[in-house]
Amino acid sequence: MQLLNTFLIGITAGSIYSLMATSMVLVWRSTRVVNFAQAGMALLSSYFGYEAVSKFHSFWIALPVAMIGGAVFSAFVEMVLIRLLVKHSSTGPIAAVAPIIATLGLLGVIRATVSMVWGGQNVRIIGPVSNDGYTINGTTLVFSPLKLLILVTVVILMLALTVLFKKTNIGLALRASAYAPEIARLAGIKVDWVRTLGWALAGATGAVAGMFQTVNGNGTLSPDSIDFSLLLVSGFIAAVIGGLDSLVGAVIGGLVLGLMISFVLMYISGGLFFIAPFVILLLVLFIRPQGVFGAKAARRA
Amino acid sequence: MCLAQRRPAVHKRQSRHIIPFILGGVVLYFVSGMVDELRVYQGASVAVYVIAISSIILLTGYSGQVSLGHGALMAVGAYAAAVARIELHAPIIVCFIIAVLTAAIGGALLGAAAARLSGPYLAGATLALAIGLPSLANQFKILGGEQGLLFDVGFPPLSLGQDFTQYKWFFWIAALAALISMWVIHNILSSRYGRTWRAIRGNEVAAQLSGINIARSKILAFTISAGIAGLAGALLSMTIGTVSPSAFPLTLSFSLLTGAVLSGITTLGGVMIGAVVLVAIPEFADAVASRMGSSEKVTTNLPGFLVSALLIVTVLFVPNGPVEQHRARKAKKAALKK
Amino acid sequence: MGNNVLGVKPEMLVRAGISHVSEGKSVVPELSVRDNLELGAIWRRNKKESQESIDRVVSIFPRLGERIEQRSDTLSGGERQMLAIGRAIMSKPQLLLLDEPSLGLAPLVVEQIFQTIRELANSMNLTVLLVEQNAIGALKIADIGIVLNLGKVVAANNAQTLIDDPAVRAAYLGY
Repeated sequence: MQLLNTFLIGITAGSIYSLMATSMVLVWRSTRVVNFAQAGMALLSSYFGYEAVSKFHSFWIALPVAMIGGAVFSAFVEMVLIRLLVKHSSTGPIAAVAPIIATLGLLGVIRATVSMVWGGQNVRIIGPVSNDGYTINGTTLVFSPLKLLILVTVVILMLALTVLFKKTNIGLALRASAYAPEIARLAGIKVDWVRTLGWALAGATGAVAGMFQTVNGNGTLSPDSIDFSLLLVSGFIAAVIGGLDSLVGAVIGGLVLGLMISFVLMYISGGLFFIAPFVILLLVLFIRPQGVFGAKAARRA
Repeated sequence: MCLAQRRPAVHKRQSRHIIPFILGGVVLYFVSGMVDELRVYQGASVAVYVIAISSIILLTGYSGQVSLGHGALMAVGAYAAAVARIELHAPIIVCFIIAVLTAAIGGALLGAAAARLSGPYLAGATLALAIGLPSLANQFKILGGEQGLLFDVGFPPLSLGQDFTQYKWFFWIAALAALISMWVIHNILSSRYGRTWRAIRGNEVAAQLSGINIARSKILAFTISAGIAGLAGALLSMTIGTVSPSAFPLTLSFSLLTGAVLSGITTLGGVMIGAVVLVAIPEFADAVASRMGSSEKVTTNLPGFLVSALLIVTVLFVPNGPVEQHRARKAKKAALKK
Repeated sequence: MGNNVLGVKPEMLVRAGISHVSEGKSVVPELSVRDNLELGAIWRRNKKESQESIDRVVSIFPRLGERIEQRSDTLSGGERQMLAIGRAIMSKPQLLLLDEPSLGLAPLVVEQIFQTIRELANSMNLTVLLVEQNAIGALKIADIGIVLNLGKVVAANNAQTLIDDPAVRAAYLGY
């Protein structure tokens, strides 16, 4: 029974991490930047969702609001920040490090701004369905309608993204622009806009992750919360586990990470909560540096 | 024959460089007597940041490895010093040395783990460490849990006179540590180790083909950088008086990176700029916030906001730091004149 | 016709009816053959037309048809060149710029490709600008030839005339 619970908790958390990892992979594939501010943007989107909940009292309105807000904000960041970055610092000793530093700065700005705007308020988002576990034959599982909802939504989103990438022209444009921007340009693709689209998609995906992470936890939204730190780190780690280049890898990576953390907490020690992601990351990097699905070339950023 | 001719030259170079540091020390001695307590305390903070930032410059600016976890390494040094003080009742200097060594060991381990990583992967791994490591202190009783440990360096010796305050004592210790560290780091960076790191940062494959053992060099950089960070951590705890996980949040690691970028991450020369800015920003933010009559939540977050915004602006427009930018401009002007 | 395309952004060229083929600049190795072909017609945004064009390309280059779902980096040099050309004609261009298509290819393959280019030019009413070092092979399929030496035009004439020109022969074949 404990095994089943641990598994279910891990899968649910892992699916949220998969979303974060997906958004990071989307950004990486469209602009070859690791966006350390991704979780911050997810956080900000969740605050948009909170405002929507306050006004409309419906999670199902808040979620699209958060997604649109996240998409718009991400597009804005790409157009302003990333293009400037590429223009000004693509050469010189700091070139490799500059995008990392810039996105870290963005993360700090977002955190500070969020704290300044929403600081003193008790910001809570309640999920649309209950988080009380299902009861089967008298025993209560940890698995609840909410967790089921999260899993189903994540699966749907992933399928939608996969279809988008594999079957549509837009998806082809996104892939071509990521692999070979010059060739894409010669094919008539407006690569700059495609990159912005990639970021917008990432923003929307991150928003969903942020909203779900909030309602799956205790419902409080705050830049200093444990949930936020976890989102920050896990998105990246899940993407690394799966291989930064691969959307499928992002999903697998997220699930694996979620399960591993869940099992560590349950069977080894609860206090290892914070250091577990780091250890897991190191293990993965030792065993298979390019990630489960990544190509070997992907390791050298 | 050749060796005998080489030795005196090296010796002369090292002692030539020690003069500015000694002069600096003398200047600081006089200055500390003239300013008020707050400035003295801030001076100590600046000294701490100078040391911490130079550790980043060594690691990132020279060997090209990005670490977001130096806050955690500072914590290691701080805890080591505090434990040494409490459990072993060691004299202060020994505590600091233990801090350096412990952090260096941590750095060696981290460096070994990280040697195969580069760019964002390394950054992410150190990020995970920065979030995870300080909280580990809650697990072990000897590390004092949430409230942390006391780190008491003791009162200034009576031989310095009645008026010698605690803060002045902090400042002196920190400043002396900073001067010594700067001299040591400067010499390391000018040595062949520094050149090796720059070669690795420039082009790893070429460096390897030149016979450089990449992994060993990278780990060495991490080890030394961590030791320096550990010293800074111990000094930071000295100024606060306690060691606890909350003194080493994620934002500290980011601030260090900011300070390094502001100073010019590839050179030691501008390190004061970054340190002063980092200490000045909270005060500046306070002044701005109170002028605008803002609420508490603005005042607590404005410094973080400014630091991060400054980081973005700097890395976009002055990526190599003001010192390097100035040098480059001068060189361009000189070339044009010809 | 008669529009100035100097300084135009690359993504606008294909919309103007110009297709550029150069092996390094036409094939995305990580994408499948089908994807690469679709890339050629992507700006027209018409999926049905696209499929028709793919069918046509496959009929011209059956080898591509066999490998249609494979990743392009599994193709041989000759096949990649075919893919590059196939991709170019997907966009139904009016002007085809071919940049050294014979480079690095076996003579038999080169012959095949040159033949195909000629046939394409005939059947699709296509103007082809062929840049080649393989002068004789190129002149054999061309209508007009322009000979450049160090960036300067040294001869411009009917292709057959140039082939018969002893000076050209001497320069390229050494006799």
